[in-house]
Amino acid sequence: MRALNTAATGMQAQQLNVEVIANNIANMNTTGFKRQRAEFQDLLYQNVERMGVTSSDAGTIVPTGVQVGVGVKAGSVYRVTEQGGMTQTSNPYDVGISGEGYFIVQLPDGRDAYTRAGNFALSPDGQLVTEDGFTVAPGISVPLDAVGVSINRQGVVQAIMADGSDPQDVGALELARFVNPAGLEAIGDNAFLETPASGAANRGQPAAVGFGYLQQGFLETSNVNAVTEISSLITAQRAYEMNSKVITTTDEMLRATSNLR
Amino acid sequence: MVGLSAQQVLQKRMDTTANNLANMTTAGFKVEHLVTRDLTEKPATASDSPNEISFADAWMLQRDFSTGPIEQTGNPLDFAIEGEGFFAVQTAAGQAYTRDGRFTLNQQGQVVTRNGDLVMGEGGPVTLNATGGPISVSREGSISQDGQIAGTLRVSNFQTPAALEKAGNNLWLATDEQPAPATDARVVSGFVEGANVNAVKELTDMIEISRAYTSVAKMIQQSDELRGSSIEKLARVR
Repeated sequence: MRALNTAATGMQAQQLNVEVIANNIANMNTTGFKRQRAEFQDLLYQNVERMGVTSSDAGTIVPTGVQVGVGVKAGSVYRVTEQGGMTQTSNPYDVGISGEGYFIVQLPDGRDAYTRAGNFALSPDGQLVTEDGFTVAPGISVPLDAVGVSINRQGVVQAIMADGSDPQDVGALELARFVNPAGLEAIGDNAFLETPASGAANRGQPAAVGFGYLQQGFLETSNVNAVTEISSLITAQRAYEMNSKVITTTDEMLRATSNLR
Repeated sequence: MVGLSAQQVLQKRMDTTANNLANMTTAGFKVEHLVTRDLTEKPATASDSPNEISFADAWMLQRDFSTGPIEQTGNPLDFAIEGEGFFAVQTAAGQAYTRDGRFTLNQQGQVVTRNGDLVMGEGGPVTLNATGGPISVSREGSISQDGQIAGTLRVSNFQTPAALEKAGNNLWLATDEQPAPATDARVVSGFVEGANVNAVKELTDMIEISRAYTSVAKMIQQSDELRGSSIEKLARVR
């Protein structure tokens, strides 16, 4: 009977669903985290009786036929790139993006990674780096004798000098945008890599057309909504149970058959 | 033999129910149930058996096209259709239709489904400017960006949507009927239509199918015993 396998695909799908929800809940307090959603599609159908075949000599046709589906599969795990909330941290090196775009980070192997997490810091030689010590593009060094920095909405970084002279421009942060940000590949540590699905990075100045603006002293929280996640978790668990019910019921039917003799 | 035909039909009903339950969380999935009919067989001569025998036969699917629960997703490229109609999708195998409006952009900025198939607008695929501003969508399905209309999603409808053929991947194929523009459909952006599966109905169906199956099995067993004992008795008479 197909029902056994069909229900098994249903259980696998719900298992994936629960795994994705668990990861969302685990990352509820991760800076710049974007929640994911498991999406499902129906599997192939077997035509038992084709629609449109003649059902009598008088030429009447079967209007809908009989198609028996064989279950469900995970279509994709989609990342919802909705804006997260902004929390004030008052740390001058925390930068939140309000709107579209990703910070560009240079990985040690020379590749560019992209992140929404703007919790930066200074390296011992005054470079603006991420939590993991990777340089933030295009590379900004703050003079060692500066007492503070100011980052404006357009990403221009100015160093405030100890001697009270005019603030110095030390560079500007860049943002990258993607045609399909959901197609980026997550590599952990809040970072993403570009893929053929995401399209090439389109770099630009913050607050330019289509790009978000920066907010110094703020961090973007995750866009996970606990209430939605818990209710999805309940739905997924119930769906899992119902599919397992299908398996036990099918098993009972098969037992009835085997008990015939 | 009648019992066997009933069991075969019950198995198919079970398969359909299992598929409905497996797709409880599939976007735009439409629930379906197997409708059975009697196949009446006249005995060769009246003396063989005084009654007509009727077999059970899987006849057609009853498809429920009511709108599933519409859930908010927060993604502007997620679309749901309120009312009747399907989005038109260009696949490698030809034109297909879907109620699953979870779209995304490909590298060229064209609106595609999750499988990468082009979503058709009125007059070709809809292309958005990837570097442009946010999009807004009207109830008629026209997508505008930076104050200009980039394209209008085509929403097609069928006189008998139940005659469409399911092709998997949430797609439907047209059979005999040609699609017409939908008249009673509104497109909402940021929402996705869930499956219209009613879990209670499916579970009670399943119990009923299983009970019927077991009792048919019992019936087959009893008629077998009856035949066995009559052969025994006949043998004793001799």
